[in-house]
Amino acid sequence: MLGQFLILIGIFVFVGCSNDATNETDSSLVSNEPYYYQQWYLEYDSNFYTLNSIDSNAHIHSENLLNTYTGDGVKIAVIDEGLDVTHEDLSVAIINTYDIATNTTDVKHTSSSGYHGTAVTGIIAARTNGIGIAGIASKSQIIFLKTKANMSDSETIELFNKAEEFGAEIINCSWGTYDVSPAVKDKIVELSNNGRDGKGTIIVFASGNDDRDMANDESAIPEVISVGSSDKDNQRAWYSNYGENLDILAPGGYEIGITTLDDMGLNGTASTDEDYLLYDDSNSFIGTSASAPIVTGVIALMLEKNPKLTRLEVENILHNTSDKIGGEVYENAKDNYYGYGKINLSNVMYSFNSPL
Amino acid sequence: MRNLIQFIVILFLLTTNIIASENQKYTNNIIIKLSNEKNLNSYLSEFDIEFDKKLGSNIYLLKVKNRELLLDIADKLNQKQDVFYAHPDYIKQMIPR
Repeated sequence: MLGQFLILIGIFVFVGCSNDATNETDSSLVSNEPYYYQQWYLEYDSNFYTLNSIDSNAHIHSENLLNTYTGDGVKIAVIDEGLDVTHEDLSVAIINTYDIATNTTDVKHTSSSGYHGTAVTGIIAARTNGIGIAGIASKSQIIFLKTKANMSDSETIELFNKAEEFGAEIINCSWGTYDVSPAVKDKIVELSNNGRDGKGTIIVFASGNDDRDMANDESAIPEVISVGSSDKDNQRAWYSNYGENLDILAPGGYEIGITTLDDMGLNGTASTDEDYLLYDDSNSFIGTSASAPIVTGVIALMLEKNPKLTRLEVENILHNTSDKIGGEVYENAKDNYYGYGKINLSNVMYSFNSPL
Repeated sequence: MRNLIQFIVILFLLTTNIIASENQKYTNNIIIKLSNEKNLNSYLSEFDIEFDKKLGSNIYLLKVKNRELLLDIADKLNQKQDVFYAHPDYIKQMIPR
């Protein structure tokens, strides 16, 4: 009798452990994130795509790669206007913060309706934890550097210096001025060429949402990776800025948004789920600000696979693996409105090897 | 009538200039890039300006004591042979995208 009882206990313990293990495995799969089905920019989902009339190739072809690569340990600086460091889907990702205005580590949004930095950072680094969404580089480490609405050139340079000091390998900039000064340009070029112990820091800029030439914008600096937007029809989004230095497009949405994080609770701008900006929220996240972090996340996966890649190698891989969308004739593989085409994560990751 | 039109045109140009200069906001500092730092100290004393901090490779932030002279000093520094550029520490609007 006692023997049977012990066996029964044993079975219960085994089943319990098995369930725990299963749950742990489940929450480590991106597809088990509650809002993953609506992250149309990552992967094709038959129901969601049909329901929203999305072109079957509008995504970045993440396939199963977000379960294989996570950007583990890759340090990414996000220079933006504020961050909810307490966000349930992001907080553990943050390793350094700095606010240029106060010279402190407090980087929360200045306005209670602020959301931009949280939305941008969420696309890159939201955790795969069974909560919310899947970030593209879900184990990357975030250095958040808070801007001011009006910044002097020396303050902008200071933020890039901070990114360098904190060891950023990639810097995401979902902003611009259309009027970059020589000194700021020099700093960006210097980091792009000499950062990461000479391999070059990879600096990603959003090209802007004004359907105009990038002209003298930060995104037009040849050494940065300049990112424009594609839409749900897998075309260049009408608002996406263009120019001879545009590198690549990534989904930025138009009629539907890029599902990402909002500041938690009553803060932020979301109207459906207060902690997330869903694709159909009346204030959904749309624009090249959303496209740039998609590319930043992809680069983090590249550096995880091969940390020795130089900035130039990263740039070349992105150029050579992009999808030539839009029915355009790409002269010398390039078009002023589409850059080298739309990013394709699957092509990117299978195009180079890990170091021996 | 012709004089009136000329007056209006001149007034318009003057106003535009004022607006343009107001748009170019800057701090009391100059950012300078030199080919090397050899002459930095002599420029500090020549123009009565102060060293604030190093911003990058041979790029320095310099504090101007008299703001009214800032543009003139930047101009004169730009004429030096070892100066790649010297410009006001402009304040720009960071536009989230």
